[in-house]
Order: sequence, then structure tokens, then C-alpha cells
Amino acid sequence: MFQQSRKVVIEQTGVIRDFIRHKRTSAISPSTQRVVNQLSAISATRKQPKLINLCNEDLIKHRTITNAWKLYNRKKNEKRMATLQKQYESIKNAMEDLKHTSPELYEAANKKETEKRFPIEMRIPTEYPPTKPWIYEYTHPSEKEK
Amino acid sequence: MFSAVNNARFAGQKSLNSITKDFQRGIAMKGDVHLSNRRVMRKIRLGKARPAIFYQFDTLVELSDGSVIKRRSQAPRDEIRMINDQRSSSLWNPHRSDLSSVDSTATGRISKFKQRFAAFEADNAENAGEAEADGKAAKEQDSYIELMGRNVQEVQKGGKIASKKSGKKK
Amino acid sequence: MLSKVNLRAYSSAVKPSSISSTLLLSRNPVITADIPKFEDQYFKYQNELWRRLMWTFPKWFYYRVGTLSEQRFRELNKRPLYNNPNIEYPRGRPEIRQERDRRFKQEVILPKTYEENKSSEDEEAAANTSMSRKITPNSRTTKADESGDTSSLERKLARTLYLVINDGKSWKFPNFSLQSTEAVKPLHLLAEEGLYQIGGKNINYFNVSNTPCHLINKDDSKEYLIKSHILSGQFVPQQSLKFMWLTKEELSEHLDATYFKEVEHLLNEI
Repeated sequence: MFQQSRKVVIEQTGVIRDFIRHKRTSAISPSTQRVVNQLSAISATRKQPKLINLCNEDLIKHRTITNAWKLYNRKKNEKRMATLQKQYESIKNAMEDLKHTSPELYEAANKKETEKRFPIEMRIPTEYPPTKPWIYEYTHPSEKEK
Repeated sequence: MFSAVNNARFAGQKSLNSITKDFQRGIAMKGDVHLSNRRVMRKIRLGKARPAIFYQFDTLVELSDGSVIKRRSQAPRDEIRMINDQRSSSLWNPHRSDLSSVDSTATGRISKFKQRFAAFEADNAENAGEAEADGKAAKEQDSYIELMGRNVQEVQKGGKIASKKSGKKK
Repeated sequence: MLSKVNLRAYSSAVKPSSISSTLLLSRNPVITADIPKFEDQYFKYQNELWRRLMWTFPKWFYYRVGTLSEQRFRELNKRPLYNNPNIEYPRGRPEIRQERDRRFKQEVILPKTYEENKSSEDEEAAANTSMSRKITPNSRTTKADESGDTSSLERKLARTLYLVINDGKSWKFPNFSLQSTEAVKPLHLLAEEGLYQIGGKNINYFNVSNTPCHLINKDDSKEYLIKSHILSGQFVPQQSLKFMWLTKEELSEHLDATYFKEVEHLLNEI
């Protein structure tokens, strides 16, 4: 009876189904399984490490390190802001002077550069240099025509 | 008895077949994903929230000119090599003539396919020409108003048509 | 109106020949800056904290069970000691969650795409052919650094370099004065033409702005400084001219002390 019924199922559905004696462990469909898998990768369940529990001494050490870092950064920032201020002042000073020295040059220096674009060949620094650190091959457009 | 039940169950044979096939392909269907109620987000108590810090690998990325960048990434790759990028592209290096533009598909399946069926490429071009000709013919048919004569006006159906649209139709 | 007249009167008083434009041509760093010791140590400390707080690597998501890559991954990453109730652990009981002891940081070793522990000859042979070869970064110091070639553009890749020339008397930034005979020329064009004259035309450079960034006022002359970056090409002296590419510290040694103090804030420290 059972054998027969199995055959019938196979004939009717065209899919071979394994009949397991015991209870099926996972009753969810493959697509549900996939979604569950994806969710499990981004969820925190059973993946979070233990909280760091520092003893008093370590906590003081940590705070000292953090304070030192803050101080270091603040000094760095102050220095940077001071140089920026200086640079701004010197630009302003130069332009003020140019206005009196030569109005024509002042006009030219103040002209809007609408056609200008940021150079596409400028590169961001990398951790390790390229095999050829510098590109020497360059011919000026006017030289090329010759 | 058992078979009878089965018969009743699988009465809609065809639709069931298609569903099982979709299962085999692993395609998620609408209403097919059933998440149990256990997966509802647990309430996070005040002060108990912790940042999501996913596992990250230190990855070395080698650009096409040999320079190396360090980066962190969640994907399990610790070394990545770029074939074509900003450093070798002629678009980004307009003044360089020494660039050997490596075709990124040179070792891929597309180039293999192209090599194998290179003979059909010329044929394809002809076909494309024919297709274009067909398209032209269709356009001529569409502009039937012009064929009907000069003083024909399009019959306006329904409400007012915006001036822009009517301009297009003529 | 009155002010305009005044302006004109003032401008005519200054001879155009006393105006000159100085070019601050810099080569930007090619590699990232060397990290100071304190920063390096702090980053290491933070990195360790970060690694300790990272979640467990979701292995099942990236490596499907039963595949070859999963097997390779499993061979490399052994399971941690499990919590055996019959054993006393002096350093505390392990808490295993998803094959990770959640008291410590997790260290994952990835299977490589190339064969490890190969002889060097084989590696060299495979180096140019295989795309999946091992990444071996180039050295951060170059030949020019070792030989101490100061005229090379490849030296001190982590620093900004500035072009200085020697006209026989002293080292200085290239300076070009406006000829009294010619029509008034914008400062940046003056600098450009001067640069092409002394260094050849094959320099690809980017002029930051037409606006001068600094003024050096002397009794009878006015020097306006123009900033620009060299992108490619090289400086080839046309006359018998000595030139160097120097960092800020080296400039303080070679330039006149008062002159350096004047331009110090314009120069990059990295």
C-alpha cells in the first residue's frame, strides 16, 4: 500500500520526495531558509562578544590614554587653525597691496576662472608607492604639434 | 485510502509542479517566506544598546600601477587586485601615451564567447541594418496623416490635449 | 571718483619692473604620511579594542556548508576549546557561541588564492603570469632616497617637495620679474612663462589660483607668491642651473633664514 502510494506521488508530481521515518527537523521552505540566513548574518543574536569589564586600574589607564589623545589632537588642530589664519592674512595682505600697486594685475588676479577644472591626474596618496613612483612622460600640447 | 488522499491533495497538478520547480531554483516567491514570531525584535532596554560592529578583515588592495591600499572590509577577502582602475584608464590619464589598456574581459567568459562566435559578428551587423530599415518603414506607416493629404486635421477625442503633446503628434 | 584718481596716481608711482612673481611649485605626497609614534601607538590600542568588540564572523553566510571553500576555511580555523564541565579552567570557563569564545577577540584566517610555502624561484616565474599571485607592496623608500639624490622627484614620497633653484649666489624659489617694456601680464602667466623658460615645457602642472598667496615686501621690489602643483613631467634646467626638490625642514637649511621665516606658514608639514 505504502509503496504504491509513493509511486503515485512520484508519478503525479514528477518530483522524488524522500520519506523520512522520524519527524522532519526543518519544515521551512528554502526561500524562508535563505531569508533567515541573511537576517542571521546582520543580527546580533549570539554574535556579540562579552562586554569589556575593566578593573579600576585599567579604567584609569584608558582614561589617561584618551585624555592624552584629546590633548594631542587639540594642539594639532590649534596649530593648523593658526597656520590657516596666517595664510588667509597673507593672501588678504597681498591682494590689498596689489590693489594699490597695480590695479591691472589686481583685476587679473581677481578674475573668475570659469573654465578651470580640478586636475583629473592628481592622485590620492596610497599606503605603498606604485612600481613607477613618478610619471616623467609628458609633452606639452604645443610641443606635440611640432 | 492513502493514495486517495494524495490524489485529492495533488489535484491541481500543474501549479504544484511549477511551485516545486521554483523551490528547486531557490526563487523566493511572494507569500512564500514565513518567518516565525520568534524573530520579532526584542525590546532593548535603556542604556543596554550596543553598537553593531561587524567582523572586518584587513584587506590589501593592489591598484593596476602597483600601489597598495589598506582597507577594512566585511567580505572575506584579504587581498584584492584591480585589473582596470583609475590608474590605468586613459580617461583619467589624458596626457599619458604609455598606457596599455588591459581589457578587463580578456580572460573572461565574454571574450571566449566572442572568440568562438567571431564569424557571426559580421552577420549580426547586417541583421542590425535590416532591423533599422524595418524600423524606418514602421515610422513611415505611423505618419499616415501625411499620406492622407495636406489639409487633414486630426480628430480630437476626449478632452483638451496639451499643446506640447499635439505638437508631437503632428 | 576721487579715490579712483588717487589710485591711479599711486599705481603710476610704482615701477612695473619692481613687481615680480615667485613660483611655489610643489610635488604632492605620493604615499600616505609617516605616522608619528604616539599616533601609531594610539591607533594600535584602538584597533585592538575594536577587534575585541567585533561580532562573530558569520561563516555560514559566506561559506556554504559542504562546499570546498568551506572545508578549506574549516581546516585553517580550528574550533576553540569547548566548555567541558569535568575540567577546571584556571583562566575562567570558555563561553562558546557559534564557534567563538566570546571572552576574547576572534581571529579568522582566510584561505589564500595562491599556493603558500613555495620556493622563491617558482614565485618569480608565476609572478608575471598569474593574476592571483601574492600582493607584495613596493618599498616606501626609493632609490633616490638611498642615493640622496635631491634633484629627483621620486625622493621622500611621503612628503611635499618644493622646487628651489640656485642662480649662483643662493638657493631660492624661482622668481620672475615683470619686464618694463612688455605689457602688464597677470602674475600666474608670468610665473608660467618663466617656469617654461628655465625648466622646459614638459611640465604638467596645476595652478591653484591666479591670486597671489603671499607678498614679500622689500625696499625697492615686491614679490608675489603663486602656488601650484606639479602633476607629471619633470623640471629639466635649460641653462646651467642647479635645482633641488626639498621638504620644509630641508628648505630651512638651504634658504636664507629671514626669507624662510617669511614663507614658513605657506609650506606643508607633511
